[in-house]
Amino acid sequence: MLRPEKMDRVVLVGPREELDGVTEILYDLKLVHLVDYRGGDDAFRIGKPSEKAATISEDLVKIRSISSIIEAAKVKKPSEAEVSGDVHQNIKTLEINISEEDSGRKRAQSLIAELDTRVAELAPFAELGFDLDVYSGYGSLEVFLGHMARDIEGLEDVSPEHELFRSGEAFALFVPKERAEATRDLLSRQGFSELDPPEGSGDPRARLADLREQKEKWQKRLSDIDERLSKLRERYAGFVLAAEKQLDAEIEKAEAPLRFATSDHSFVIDGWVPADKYEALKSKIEGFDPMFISIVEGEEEGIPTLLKNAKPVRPFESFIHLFSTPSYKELDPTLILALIFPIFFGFMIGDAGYGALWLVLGGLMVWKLPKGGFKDLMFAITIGGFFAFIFGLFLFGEAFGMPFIAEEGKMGWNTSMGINIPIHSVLNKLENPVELILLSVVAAFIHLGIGFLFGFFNEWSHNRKHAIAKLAWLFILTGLFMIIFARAALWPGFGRTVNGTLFGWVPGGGMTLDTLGFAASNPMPFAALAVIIGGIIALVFTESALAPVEVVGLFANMMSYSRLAGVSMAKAATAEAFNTIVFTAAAPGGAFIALGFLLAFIFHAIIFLLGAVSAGIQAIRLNYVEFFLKFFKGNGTMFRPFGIGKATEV
Amino acid sequence: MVADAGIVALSAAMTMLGTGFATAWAEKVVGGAAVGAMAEKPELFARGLTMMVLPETIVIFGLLIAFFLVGKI
Repeated sequence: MLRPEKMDRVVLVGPREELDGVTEILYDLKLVHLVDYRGGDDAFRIGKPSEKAATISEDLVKIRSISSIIEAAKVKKPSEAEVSGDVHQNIKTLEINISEEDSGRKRAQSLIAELDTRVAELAPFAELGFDLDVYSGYGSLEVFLGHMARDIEGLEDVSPEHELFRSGEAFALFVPKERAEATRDLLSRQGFSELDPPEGSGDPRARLADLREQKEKWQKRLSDIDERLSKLRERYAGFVLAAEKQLDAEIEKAEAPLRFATSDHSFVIDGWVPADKYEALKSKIEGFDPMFISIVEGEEEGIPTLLKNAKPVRPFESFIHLFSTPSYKELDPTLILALIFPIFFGFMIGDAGYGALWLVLGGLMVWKLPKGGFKDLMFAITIGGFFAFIFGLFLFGEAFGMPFIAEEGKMGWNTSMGINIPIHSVLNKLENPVELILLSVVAAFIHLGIGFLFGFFNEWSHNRKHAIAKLAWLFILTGLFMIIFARAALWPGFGRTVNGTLFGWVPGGGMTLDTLGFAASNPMPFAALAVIIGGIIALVFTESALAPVEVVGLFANMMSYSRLAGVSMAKAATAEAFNTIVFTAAAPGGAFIALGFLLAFIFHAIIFLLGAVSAGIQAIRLNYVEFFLKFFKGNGTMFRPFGIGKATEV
Repeated sequence: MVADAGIVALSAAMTMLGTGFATAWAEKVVGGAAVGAMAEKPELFARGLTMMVLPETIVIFGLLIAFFLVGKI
């Protein structure tokens, strides 16, 4: 539960002939986290990949390129093609077919691109309408060909003798050779972009039509090729994906000897196995007659972590790994995170309506989504939705930002909608902010307290002094908590409200000593001061003389939990504002009621999504920053047994 | 004290304004850097998020102080 799976270090020794068989068995069992052999002694060296490895990796490269050409991953439900027969031969045949189509496609694409450029070059001349040999071959004339958006100004002054032909922006200008320089200056000042003179002769319109015809022909060919490729995709995607998977497995097996130590006649495999799976592994391995397997005692370094949690808690493990994998020797905080995260999330949403929606929608998504990080997140939010529903129903007594029971003249389910839900709210988010903040401080005390206890147990085994420091911190936390509560009960204005509602049990005096504190009228509970001072003295001896400065930091951590109240109130205020708009819009009746429903839908969808985003981020942040930093070291190695493939990205 | 109510309310508003702005500014800096780091190493997501939301504490303190101020009215 709070400890990761116990691991044993195992060593397998056997003759070289059994290597392939043993690798196969280990791959299928998926039990052993291999410790790579690094070389470094005379008798053993790092093993060589099996002879098949080269062929397999070649096939793998081919199948990946085929897969990307026919876009196999795009096929939603590939036909379950069995990988049967000679995979190598099949891949070869498929590759010949597909690479021919692929090179055909590439040729067609590049030709079409080339034709496009030529069409673009020729189009202006087709508009001008002269034969192409008109533009060159003069002794005394200079020809300017180009584009210009505006009319050419001042041409008369530069070259009184000229011929200008325009068609749209394109133009051809003929001037005498001796005026060429001056004309060029004039044109370039007015933003002239020059065109290359066309090659060849004849009517440009005929040539253009010819080019377009060619392009059409190639486009037809390209679409034929695409069609053939999509047929190939439909037919072979299943095979390609399955073969890729199979080859991935085979290459892992074929290259496994690179992680083993081998000598001329034997091999040694070193790794970690979950302690309760050792017997299963042993019985399989002993099926090979000359194999030897044993547990090595006393190994302490590099033990991989396999978190061990009950099934409903397991989705929360991704949150832990996202932060850092716990080391083998520390407590696993998944259980606490799984309890706290949904409660915090639920408290911040705190609304029966949104809570029920998240419960239903989240549940549907968990049901439908494929395995992975996003599903785990949705699971956490679904549980959070459950708590939001419970809090909304029994603590805040509201749904979609409206209280179930409101006084006459105020917005509420009974007054505005005529629906009677006989549950009175214990707290109103906007009218009892101090109580909300105090509840947050209670959350802080419990959460941080667990954090320090975890820290104590983590440190106990290797440094007693540091462990005691964690207890000292717990004392200081308790003292601060008591002071905040006593102060809240005494705070002018607030004290009376607090004592009147949820926190009626907080003593307004009695546990305080009038002579302590800032003034007689402003006392602090002496027990709290004693606990804090005791804690600080203990800190000086166990951590350092400067450690007491961090007490302020701890206070800041506690106050940081009032984001629970903050997000909750912000959500409530937004919902109330939106509801006011909705009811105002729907007030005239008739068609306006439909408008009201539309607005209500849009507004509540916004709050529903934004609320979940902010509540989710804040709830996870309180765990990552305030909670984890009290004890969590992390930097562990995740248990990845041989046979589960390459590390997937989180 | 009633005559000062406006001043107290204004102080509360200014507290929210200042701390809100400070948080936004700090998160802008941290967030930009975090996204940059994540482009290089996607596994830094959790660290990045943690760093990014740290400055929120500023506005939370602002919120608390604003509440205590409003309580004085």
